[in-house]
Amino acid sequence: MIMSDLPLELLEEILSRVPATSLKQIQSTCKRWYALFKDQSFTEKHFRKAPKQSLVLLLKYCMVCSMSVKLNVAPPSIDFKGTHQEVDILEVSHCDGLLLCVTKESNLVVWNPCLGKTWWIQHKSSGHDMKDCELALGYVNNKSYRSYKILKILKCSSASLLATKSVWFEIYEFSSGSWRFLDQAVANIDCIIESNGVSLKGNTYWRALDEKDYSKWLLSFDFTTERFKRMCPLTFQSEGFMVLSVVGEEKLSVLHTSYSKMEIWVTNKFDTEVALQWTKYFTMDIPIPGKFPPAGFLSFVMDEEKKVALCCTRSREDMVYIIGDDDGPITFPCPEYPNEPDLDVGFLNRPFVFNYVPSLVQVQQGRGKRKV
Amino acid sequence: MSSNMIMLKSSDGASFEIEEAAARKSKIIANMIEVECVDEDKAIPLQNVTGNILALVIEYCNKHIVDDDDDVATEEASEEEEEAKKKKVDDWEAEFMNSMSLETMFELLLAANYLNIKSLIDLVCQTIANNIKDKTPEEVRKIFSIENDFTPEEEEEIRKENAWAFG
Repeated sequence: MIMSDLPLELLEEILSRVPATSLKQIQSTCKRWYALFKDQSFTEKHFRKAPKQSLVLLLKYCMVCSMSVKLNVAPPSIDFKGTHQEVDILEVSHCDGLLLCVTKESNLVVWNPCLGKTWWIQHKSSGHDMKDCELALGYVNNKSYRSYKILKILKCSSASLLATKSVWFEIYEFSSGSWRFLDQAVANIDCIIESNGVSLKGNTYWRALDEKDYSKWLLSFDFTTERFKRMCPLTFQSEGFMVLSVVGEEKLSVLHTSYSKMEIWVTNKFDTEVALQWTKYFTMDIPIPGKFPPAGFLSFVMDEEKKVALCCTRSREDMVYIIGDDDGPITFPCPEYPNEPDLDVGFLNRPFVFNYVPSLVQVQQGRGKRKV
Repeated sequence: MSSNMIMLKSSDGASFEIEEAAARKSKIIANMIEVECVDEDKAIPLQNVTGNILALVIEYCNKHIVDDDDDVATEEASEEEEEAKKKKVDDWEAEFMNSMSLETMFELLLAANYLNIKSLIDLVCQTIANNIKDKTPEEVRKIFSIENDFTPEEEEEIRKENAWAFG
């Protein structure tokens, strides 16, 4: 009895339990194994069964790098490691192991860094510059496999644009390889999206501001029904700056920085039957009120088990703060890269730190595909 | 609890007596019992499972039937008790798997698949998967006696597909 005699079904059962990065390393073991990587039903089974590895990525200028944080040494340390990417990236968002990126040339690409694969998206339909758009990658769970979609929203919707804003909501379906406009009634959200979107279980969430009474809301977009929904009001403190993050691929969290206090709030697990609730997870008095962090945190990730958060901000240079329960914050400057492009990134949300779960997931691209 | 005993017979003719409750861990045997094609005096023939492998399957089923009974008896067990019990089962399973060769694991997996014992399939697959983790293709081929059917050029091609991967 040797492994090659195993029925395919059992081979899949075994390999779907090997973590993504390990399995990627051994894809060239033999042709039979390699063929599995091309099989979407296997890669999705793998996503459901394999132990999840959670990594932290950082978008710094136009470069995505991975961060490895060592907390059990004194003092704690962070290693930054660049990626072999071929283009400069302006914006990035994460959805189950896939990164949706807008490049400096205003092109749109979905990237699976674990597989080293990219899928380029055509977007000539509306003529907008991608840099002016809010983009979100999500999926619909079909019986056999996921079908991926991209939502495109024109950012900075001013009052005059809002009157006709349905024009500015578009959906790209990978299965058809084409863009279409979102129904006007559906797109009527009556609020302004204020933050980067975060993706959880295939849907996307933003912090949004009500157009009339300026109340703050958690807004969601369901990629199955293609509907926006106000999930719940975000009423933690009256003043301050809020950013969203995903926790362990099952919850959302908010980091709220005000003049004198920093708070992290976490939801319960996302489950369609249970109402969304927020629990205060962590509070820290700001050591020098108004001075720390210099301009509020721009992005963060947290580890619920280790009770630690990594928060990013920019003052004279890009900084990462490790904030834990015991000691005060520990500060790390982000690495400088040679040949950093000459770009005005002042208006962009940098440095941007986010969770990444390596996976073998691929998107199936229909007609109109363009591989570069 | 029912203490009905039933007989199982391996492909090489060995007979094993097993409690019905334990045997019901196998969906196939449970089905046979449901449709009453089990003659009380006769052993159920299992043509795809040898005696030494069937002994392991029975050891696993016996262990887990005891655990299921505990669940009924201590329905209101505290969280710590639950955790301690889970750890005990995990330790037993680790020890159980640790005692066998890869060759045996594959045979046990085929038997668990034939008998349709979901939890045993999961356990064996996870154990084999742990052996694969963090290995190179060369190491994996050696451990599992897999022939490399790629030409060196083809392997190089696959490596090149990693252009956009992490450094």
